[in-house]
Amino acid sequence: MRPDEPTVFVVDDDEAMCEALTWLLESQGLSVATYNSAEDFLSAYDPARPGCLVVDVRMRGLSGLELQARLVEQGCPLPIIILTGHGDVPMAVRAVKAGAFDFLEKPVDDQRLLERIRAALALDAERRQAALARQLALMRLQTLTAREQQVLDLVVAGKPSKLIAFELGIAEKTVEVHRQRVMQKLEVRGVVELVHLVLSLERRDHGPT
Amino acid sequence: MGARADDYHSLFDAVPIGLYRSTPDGRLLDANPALVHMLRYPDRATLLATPAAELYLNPDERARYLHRMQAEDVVVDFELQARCYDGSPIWVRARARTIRGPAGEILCYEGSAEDITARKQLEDELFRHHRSLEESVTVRTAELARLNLQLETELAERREVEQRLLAERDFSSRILEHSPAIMCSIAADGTTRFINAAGERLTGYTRAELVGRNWWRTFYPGNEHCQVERLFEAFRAGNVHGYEMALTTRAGEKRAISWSSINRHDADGTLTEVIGFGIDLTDRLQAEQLLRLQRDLCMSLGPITDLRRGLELVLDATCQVEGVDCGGVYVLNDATGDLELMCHRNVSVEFAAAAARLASDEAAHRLVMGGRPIYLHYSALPSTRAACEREGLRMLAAIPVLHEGQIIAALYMGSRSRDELPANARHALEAIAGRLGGTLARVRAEAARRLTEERFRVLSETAPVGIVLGDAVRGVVYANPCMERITGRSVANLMGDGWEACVHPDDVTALRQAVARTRDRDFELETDFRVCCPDGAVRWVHAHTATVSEQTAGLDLRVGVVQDITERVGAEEAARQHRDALAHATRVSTLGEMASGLAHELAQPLSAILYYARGCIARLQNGDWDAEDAIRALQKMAGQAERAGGFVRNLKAFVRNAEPQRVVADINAIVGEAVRLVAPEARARGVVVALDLQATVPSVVVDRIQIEQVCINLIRNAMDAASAKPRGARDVSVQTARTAARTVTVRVGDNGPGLPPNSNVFEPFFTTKPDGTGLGLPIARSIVEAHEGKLFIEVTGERGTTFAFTLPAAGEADHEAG
Repeated sequence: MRPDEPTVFVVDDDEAMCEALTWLLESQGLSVATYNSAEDFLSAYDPARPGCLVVDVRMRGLSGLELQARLVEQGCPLPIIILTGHGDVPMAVRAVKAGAFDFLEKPVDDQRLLERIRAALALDAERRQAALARQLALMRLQTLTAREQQVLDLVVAGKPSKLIAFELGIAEKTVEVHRQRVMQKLEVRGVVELVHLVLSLERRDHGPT
Repeated sequence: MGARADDYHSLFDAVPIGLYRSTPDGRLLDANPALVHMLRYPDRATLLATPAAELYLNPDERARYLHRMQAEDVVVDFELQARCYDGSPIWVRARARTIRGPAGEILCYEGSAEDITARKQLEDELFRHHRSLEESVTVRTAELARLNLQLETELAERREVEQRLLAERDFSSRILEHSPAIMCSIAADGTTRFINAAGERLTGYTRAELVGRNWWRTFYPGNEHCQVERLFEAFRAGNVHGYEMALTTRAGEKRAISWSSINRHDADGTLTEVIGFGIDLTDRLQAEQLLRLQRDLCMSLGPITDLRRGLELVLDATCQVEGVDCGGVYVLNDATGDLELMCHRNVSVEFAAAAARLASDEAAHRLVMGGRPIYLHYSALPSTRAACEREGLRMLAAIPVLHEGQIIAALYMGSRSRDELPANARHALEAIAGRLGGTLARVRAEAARRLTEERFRVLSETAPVGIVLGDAVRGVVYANPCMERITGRSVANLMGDGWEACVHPDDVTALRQAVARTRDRDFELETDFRVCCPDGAVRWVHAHTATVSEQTAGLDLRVGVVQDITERVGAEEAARQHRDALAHATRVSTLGEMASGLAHELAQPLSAILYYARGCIARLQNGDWDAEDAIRALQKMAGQAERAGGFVRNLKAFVRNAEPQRVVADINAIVGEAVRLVAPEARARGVVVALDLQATVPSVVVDRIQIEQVCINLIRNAMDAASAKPRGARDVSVQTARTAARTVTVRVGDNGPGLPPNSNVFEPFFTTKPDGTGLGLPIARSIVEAHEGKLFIEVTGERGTTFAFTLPAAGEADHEAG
């Protein structure tokens, strides 16, 4: 199991369940790691590892929901699939509201479980991809000079070059040069792409994940 | 000589005694006028012409007379019957002497003759009257014989004396002098003419004092004689037999005399004298009276049941004893040891009440308390002297009333007329006291027995339970009215073995065996059985018998108490059914509450099975499989299937509405099952359930499901309480242990905040949970109590609460049965 290989983390205090899930998931070529309690998982988990979390809602010690809450606190991006027993629907709804990927009622149909696990893994991969891109963009943003940053802000604000030159008290030509350099540094091909990039970064900075 | 002859002749003619001379050949030579007159001849010549032999009524008598004359020369007091001129006989006392010539030849006889006819008649009458007297005495004696042995002896002596007297032919003077009877002669005017020695002794007067005095005035002082003299007039009319009159002696004593009399008249028929014969009856009458008194008392005390009434009878009887005229009865108070006045007669209540106390410091009193009767002149008791003087008492008698040697009462009697009591009066008092002792003891015993009997009767007849008495041989000998209500049969039908007929056929054998077991030893039988009433009703009864006392012939009397418990049995049965139904309902409801946990518990193995199966399929399809792995997976699947099946079985058993069944069970196993059922819920709630099961805990006899329910209820409550803590710190502990020789205790503890103060968690509908029914604990408690155990809060506080319940350990018999 390579550290960067997406892994299905199974947390269940029922050892038989852990074993059975492992048996099933491995038959589908998935990588599986099992934990007998939320505490075990929390102490062992490395947020860098991609994958998804399959957790039983009822456990000794921390419950599935409590584990979810901890992970959210820690900013862990793992998609969480919560397995519930009969009659735990209100609990499941709370879990989803709190950001769980999905909840499944036991006994869970294996196909559906696999499908959700794959979806969760895909989501995780996608998220990790997006996060990576954002990280790259931020690094590129940091290479801009102060003047280039000023020009960028005004371009994203939708102002034409002539107006930008007027506001900054520089020549329109100079504005055009800065703009070209910004586009080069940020590796965007046009203004539309540039605006999208900046806005997405800003959203990530302020909005919810 | 001539003058002497004249003198002689004048004397011969003048003396009032008949004189004569006769020849041996029977010729009268001479006779004086008195003899002529006596023999009623017209003149001396006629008499002298009569041959002497003709003058004798019986010729043999002349022959005897002559014979004695020839032999003795002088014959004195020869009594014979002479024939008078008119042929009538008279009694004559003759004396004569033989006149002999110089050669000793008999010349003639000289004699005197006295007419003693009157005396002879008197003697005859005396004899006759004595006879009749003797007869009346005999009759009386026979009467008295029944009453008094002492008197009989006395009378026998008297009879002996009288018989001895009768045996003597010559008794007239002896009778007069020695007869114990009074004999007297009273002239028509009442003058006493004669009285014999017995009369002197009795009256205390000498003969000389009495003769010539008026009889009536002498012996009937005051005005008494007037009545008696009138009576005397009646006496004159004829002879009197056995008339009782009391005369007053010189000493002033009244003596009761039984009089018989004969009247004597002169030739004109005029009453000359009354000859009286009196027998002193005083002693006999007194003895009789005392005897009668005792007999009457005895008879009247016999049926007496009231103590006070008895005492009054005794007191009345005592006051009738000669010389006794007042007194009181005192009964010993066992508590204080004092004699207490019960009733009194003829004395002031103050004196009577004080009498026992006044003398309490006297030696005499101590004698009485020690059981000795005392008779004292009033002056002998300094402490009561003044009081006696006020009451006019001359003597006091204190007679203890004993029972079995112990004083239980006392009679204090007094006399105003005497300084001392005669012996027979004392005896009478003591006899009465003796009688009272027996009666008092009997009355008290009867009263006590009656009280006991009455209490038993009231108890028995009004008791709301059946009561029977009986023994091994006779069976039932008593049954109270309630038994009739219980069995629907009359008491008569229950006697002997009759009761067996009312016992339910299914119970009769067991009951007979149980009864038989009680025959050998002092065994208390306590059993329930059914009774069939004639109307078809069946009643449950609870019978409890015990030995009352050792009886003769080695038989124990047993008493049985029979209680109709039909309603109770019905109510118990209904309560049991109700409890079981409620327990079941609660189990179902509990299961509902636990549903999600239970579903999870089921879903878990089912999911595992599914995953194993799909995993296998996928591997087989991919051709990417390893036989060993597959087998391992399949084994796991089987294990999970078994797990699910076992759980379902438990669940089914838990909710099944089966008839409760008591079996010998391991409490640890029951607790284990309960914990398994609540485990999912515990897991979900983050509660850690710690088990501490003692391996050596004894088995119990229980309905497994119900006890499991109790455990589940307690554990779930504990989990609720522990949930007040944050997850990870919620602890519940379950412990089993032997806490006493025959007790198993199960404890369920939590680390919650403790119960709210003053909360009665065992009250139905008490609940601290928003969706709780409030029935769990009450039902748990009723289940435990139905198993003869207790469910209680062992400890509650800030550090948590521990509930505990006990169960009796199974006995050896249970193991055998199990």
